[in-house]
Amino acid sequence: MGEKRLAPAVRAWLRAELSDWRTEGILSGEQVDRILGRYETSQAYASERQSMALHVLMGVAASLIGLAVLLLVGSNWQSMPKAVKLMLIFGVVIGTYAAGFHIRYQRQGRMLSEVVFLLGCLLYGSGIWLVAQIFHLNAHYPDGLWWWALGVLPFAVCLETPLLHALLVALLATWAGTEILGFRDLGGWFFGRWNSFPNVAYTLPLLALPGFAWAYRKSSVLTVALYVPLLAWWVILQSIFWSWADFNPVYVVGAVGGLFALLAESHQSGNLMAIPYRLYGVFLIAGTLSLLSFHGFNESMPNGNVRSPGIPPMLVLVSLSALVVFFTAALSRASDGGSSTLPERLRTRWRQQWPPIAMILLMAGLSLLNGLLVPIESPGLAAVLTTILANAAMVGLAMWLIHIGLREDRGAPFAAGVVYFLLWSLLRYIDLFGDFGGMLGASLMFFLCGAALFGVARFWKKRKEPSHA
Amino acid sequence: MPETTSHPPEAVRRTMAWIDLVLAWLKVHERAVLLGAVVFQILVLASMIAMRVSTLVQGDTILLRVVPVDPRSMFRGEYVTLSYEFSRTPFAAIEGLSPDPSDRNKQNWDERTVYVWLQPETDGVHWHMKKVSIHPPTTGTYLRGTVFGPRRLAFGIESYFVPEGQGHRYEQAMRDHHLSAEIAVTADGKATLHDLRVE
Repeated sequence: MGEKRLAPAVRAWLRAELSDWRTEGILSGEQVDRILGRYETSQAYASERQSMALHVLMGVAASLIGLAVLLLVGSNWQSMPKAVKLMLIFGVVIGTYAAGFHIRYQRQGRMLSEVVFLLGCLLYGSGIWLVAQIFHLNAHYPDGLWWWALGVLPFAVCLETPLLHALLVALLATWAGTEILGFRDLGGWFFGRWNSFPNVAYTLPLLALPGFAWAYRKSSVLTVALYVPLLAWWVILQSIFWSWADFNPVYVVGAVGGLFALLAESHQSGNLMAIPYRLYGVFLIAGTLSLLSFHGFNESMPNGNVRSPGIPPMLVLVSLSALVVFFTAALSRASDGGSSTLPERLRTRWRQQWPPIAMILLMAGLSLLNGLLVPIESPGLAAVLTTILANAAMVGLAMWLIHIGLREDRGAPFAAGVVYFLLWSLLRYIDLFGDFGGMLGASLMFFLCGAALFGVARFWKKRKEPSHA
Repeated sequence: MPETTSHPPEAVRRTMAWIDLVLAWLKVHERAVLLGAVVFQILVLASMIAMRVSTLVQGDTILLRVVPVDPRSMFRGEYVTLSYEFSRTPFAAIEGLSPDPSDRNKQNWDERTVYVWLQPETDGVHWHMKKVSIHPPTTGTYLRGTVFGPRRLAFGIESYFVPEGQGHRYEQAMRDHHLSAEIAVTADGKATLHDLRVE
């Protein structure tokens, strides 16, 4: 078995302790030697540190040389013949990958090879744009991003680094955004353009699915946290594109947040994979509700536009939510040994999932409310009702987050709930009393917030104390 | 921390098992898969080049006069937007195409293929438009393009990457009508922009 790493200071402490234990007769001399033998010696540690320092120096030197070469090439790029430019592009891409293979399989340098492969993928993408420049290609430029993403995909699922997943997610998000927002009139692509189908980046879920599956199987919360906002981005773009009447997307954004919070609640309680869904879902809901809690914002929204109820996207989101609840209940049979019926499981799921469902229904209701009342010239009533409901929902969201923190014994959602409640208080103070309270009012407000935070911190500390006894 | 249940549903377990199989296969064949990915990337770059080079090699080279466009959009950073005498042909002047440019008639004109029949100018160097039609000529040189809107025809030769500091030179030449585009055209009308020439 290889020796484990141990810093010199810790090794010195261990030697001193082992010496005392040997003196007291707790351990024999042979046992002390065997324990020390499990860890690298000070000389080995120093040698490795020196080697690592050399590697870092060499890496910096290589980067500087690479930068020098890039600058040299860049300054002469325009005067180079096309053939030389192409040879350079292919040479650099192939050379980088060759280096990556050599480091990974000959030198067993897995981490370094992953960085080199990432560089190779970046150079491949640069190659696409450089070739387009060399030949003055006038093609549909989002296609370049799609082919880039497709080339990165195998590296993302084969290697262990989230960096490549991050690159893939960035490429897919940019591609979907440029395709849907920039070329919505173009017609969907399926081995050719079809005007009958809208251009909504259909292949994004297919390209994201392998990475998503990889992240779940490797239990990589960080990687799931990369794909969840990509999915949210795509769903929001879909709803904006598929609407065939003018509606306000703010409710869709809030409803998508609710859908992701619902997906979080569909995971097993305490499953860390739920965290990214809840995080982004709460961000979307919290941001939307914060805006909708201002009467001035609700009053100004319908100005100049006739807003429709936005029924199609809301119907899709509500239907998706219902499907999530149904399938979660149907698939949860294993957790109780199969003894409960589907209606019983649905009731169980409802008890856990009703807050995000309520958020989704609230957004759908607000969209309908504004879409129906504004055209009949009752925007004032719509604005008042929206403001009241959004404020109530903000308080509800804060309470729900606090409840999650208590349920899962995690400080982050508990603190988030408290902070969101205080944010609500602050926003209402600014909105309603900011002009009247003056400095004294602000002082009182901050005192109350501080006192509330102190009280909450003490509560959490007291709650944790018995588990440390 | 509350005790968590670790009994995922049967369907989830089966899906995870299937994913495990795929990941295990990828692990065993990692080198081959990565090599395949590299080859794929090289093929993508090569095919981009091949599509253009084949036109440049097989096509005849002609000179087309570049006409000025809206100066505000002419020079977008590194790219110059080029326009030709036939780029803004109205529907009424396109043989065989309904002249109605409205959205009601969109299915008849949107992304419709059109052909610019070319003939040489009297100087024997430049070429100019004879007519635009939805039918290609049986003989002679022509360009194949697409209708993207009223007075918006595109042929894949509308962008030129400008070397740093050269943009204004081309802009001025375009305004003075002294700019021509060297185009390679294949027998089936496919065009590739090769170079810009300031005359």
